[in-house]
Parts: sequence; C-alpha cells; structure tokens
Amino acid sequence: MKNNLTKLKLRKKGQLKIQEMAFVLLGVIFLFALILLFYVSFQYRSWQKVAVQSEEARAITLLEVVASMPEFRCSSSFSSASEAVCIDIDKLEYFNKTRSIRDKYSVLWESSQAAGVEVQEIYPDKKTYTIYSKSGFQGSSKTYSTYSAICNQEYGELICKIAKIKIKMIMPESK
Amino acid sequence: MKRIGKKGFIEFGWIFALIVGALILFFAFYFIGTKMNESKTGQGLVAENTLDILLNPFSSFGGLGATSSKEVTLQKKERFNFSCNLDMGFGYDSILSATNPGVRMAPKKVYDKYIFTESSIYSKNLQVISKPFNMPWRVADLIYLFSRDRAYCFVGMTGSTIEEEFGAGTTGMNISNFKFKDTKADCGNSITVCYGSGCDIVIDFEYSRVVKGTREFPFIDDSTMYAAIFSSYDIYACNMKRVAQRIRYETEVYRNKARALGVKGCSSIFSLEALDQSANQVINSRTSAELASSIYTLRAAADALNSQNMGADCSLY
Repeated sequence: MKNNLTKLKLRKKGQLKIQEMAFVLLGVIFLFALILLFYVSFQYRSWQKVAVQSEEARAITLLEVVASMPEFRCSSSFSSASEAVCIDIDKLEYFNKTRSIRDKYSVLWESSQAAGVEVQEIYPDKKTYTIYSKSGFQGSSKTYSTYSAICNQEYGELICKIAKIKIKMIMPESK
Repeated sequence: MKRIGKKGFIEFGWIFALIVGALILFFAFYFIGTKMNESKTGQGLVAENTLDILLNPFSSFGGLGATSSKEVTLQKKERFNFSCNLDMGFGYDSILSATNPGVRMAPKKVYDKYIFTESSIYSKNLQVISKPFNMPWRVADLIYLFSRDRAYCFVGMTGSTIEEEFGAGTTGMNISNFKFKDTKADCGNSITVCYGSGCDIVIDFEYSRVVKGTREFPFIDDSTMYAAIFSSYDIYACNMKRVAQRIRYETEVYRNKARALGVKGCSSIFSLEALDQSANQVINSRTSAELASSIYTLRAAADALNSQNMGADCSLY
C-alpha cells in the first residue's frame, strides 16, 4: 500500500515536471516567434523605404527622359538653339491615336515601373495625350508631374502651349 | 550519474531537452543561413539597381550636354557581368551582380540604355562617359562604362579630337585614367590605343574600324568609335543592332511627322524608307562583315536624309 502511494506521488511529480517544461518551451517558442516577427517587419519596412526612394528617383528621371526623347522632342529647327526644349504636338498626337506605336514603347515604361504616361495641356486647352497606359492596372500608384511647353510646327511659325507631363508610378506595395 | 535512472534508462526530461535543443539549434542555423543568403542576394540586387540608377542621367536622350562623364564610386568592390539581348523589340542590356559566386542572382534588364562595356567588370571605381548618337537625328545617348583601375594610354594622339574631348585641356573632361603620350614606351602597363599598328587597340580611319587583336569593330562616327574602344565585340554588335531597332521605331514617328508637315503645306520629301531599310539590314546582319557593310549603308542613308532636311522648307528634325 505504501509502495503504491510512493509510486503515485512520483508519477504526479513527473507529470508536473513535464507540464513545467512544456510551459517553458511554449514560452521560449513564443519569445522566438516575437523576435522573428519584429525582425521581419523591421526588414520589410527598411526594404520598402529603399524601394519607395528608388521609385521616386526613377520617376523624376523619367520626367526628364520623356521631355528629351527624340520620339517627343521638338525638332532642333524649331528654335535658334541647337536643342529646343519643348515637346512636339504632332509626335504626341501620333502616340495618342496609334495603339501599335504605344505597344512598341510599352516595354520601356513597364521596365521603369510606370503604370501611365501622359501629357496634359493646361493652358489654353485641356487636351490629354496618352503615351502609355498599363492595361488593367488597379494597384497602388503615385503620380509625378512637371511642366513643359508643347509646340505645334506651323509653316514657318511655332505655336506653343503649357502642359504637364504626368507619370503614374507603381508603388512597391501593389507588386 | 543523475541522467541514468534507477533501471538504467535515460530520464525522459533529458531526452526531451536533447530533442528540443537540437530542433532549436537546427532552426537557428537554418534561419541564419537563409538570412545570410537573402542578405547577399539583397546586396547584389541593390548593387545592380544602384548601377542602373547611377546610369540614368546618361540615358536622358537628347539632354542638352553633348558629351558627359561621371566617376561612380561604389560602396565596395563589385563584380558585374554584362550581356546584351535582342529580344522583345527594344532588346536589353543585362547587369548581373556576380560578387558572391555562390548566390544565384537575377540579372537587371535595362531596356532604355545602350551600355557599351566589357563583359565583366570587377571594381569599386567606375568611369561612365556618354555621347549622343546622331543618325541622322539624335537617336540615343551611348554609354561607355569601364573600370577606373584600367588605364588607357592614347599614343600619338596629342591634339586629336580624342584628346580635346577626354584630355586635361580646357575643353576636355580630364578623365583620370586616360593618358596621352607620344610613344608606346611611356605608357607602362596601360592599354595602348593608337592610329597605326602595334597597340592593344588600333583605330583605323581608312577603313572606319577599330581593331582589337583579331576582332574588327566597324564604326560610323565618333560615338561608335568610342563604343568600339571600350566594349567587347558581342556587346558592341548587339547594342549596335539595338540602336538600329531604335532608329526603326523613331523612323516610324518621323514618317508620321513628315506626313503632318505635308498637311500643313510643306512640300519637302524625306527618304525615310532608305534609312528604315538600312537599319533593318543592321538588325539582320549575321557576320561581322555583314554588320560592317550594313552600318556603312546606314551612315550613307542618314547622310542623304540629313542633306534633304537641310534643304527642306520645313525641317523634319
């Protein structure tokens, strides 16, 4: 009888020890999980910050690139300077109305993470010329813009308007 | 020994602790290993993207500066492998970070730049030069990329346009790893470039070609001559084809522009078809001889168009 009681006590003590250890282990695992979560979120945020900064730098460069691409730029003969700083309306019009040429250039904009590129007249008219539009895009984006002159080459004359070059950049979260 | 129970069995607590300890150690090492690998991949990606972004100001086609240069200093010595591909219309240049050989990296595809370089560069200090390529309009800016650890010695070129452009004179860019000497003996271990023969790189104006060893690089203007000097043949030939593709796309835009000018009353005729066809020949060339003959034809077509544009009542470009 006494022997049985001792056995029971020992078994209970053993069970208690196992429970203790299980709780300690749970605690350790929980602690590791917390540290891991903290680390992952910190890493994610820092990468995201770098990605956003990189997108901004790319957008600003792209605005400059659009204005100076030979596909859009005014002819040098438009002004006395060797390089006229304006966008040619004839070229814009061609891109706006011709899907095939927009498709050919789409790889350039896609590789730059742009979801849309357009030139919008702001004075005196309000016409918008679409250079590129990513089909079906509904993710998060940010639009960057800059002002530029857009000009029409009439016979021996140059008629200019004020416009905005707008570039819609895909933000990293939506990728 | 406490670990051994009364009946000679190892106590449950110890077995449990050993298993759990081993598991924790395994996961810790696995996690650290994965993170280190990810970190190397991340560093490689950052290096590839940094190089792409640093080259961005040079791809702003038609910027006001004629020729520009920049010294790029990376955070540490990096190895980049470069290649050029003609797929998907525009084609692309690939930048692959190969600093950590054990890490599998995805190359950065660059569609909007024409990077003329050697197939591999291992350096912390890079030199970037860009020069517009006019054929006949300003098609794109060509980018020449090389390590500043490699010195180029231009022999017998004192007073030449090369020295005017890159030398230490008032109009020059004063490229630190370029030397201009009268004799080859003054060059030391530098890569020698000269007009005649006996140098590592020979510029042959008579046949419009740059000769490196047994390879001949045909050129059609200063911008392509520099491209030939600073790049490997495969990258040169491929990027020339990419530029030709760009000419074809731009020709389409200018064809429409010529039509628009016609509607406005301009009577001038521009032979854009000849330019388009010769650019197509460059793209389809298979041998170096075919590439040479097609780019000389392209030059002739561009010259003819230029003459028409100069004499036109409404200039096209």
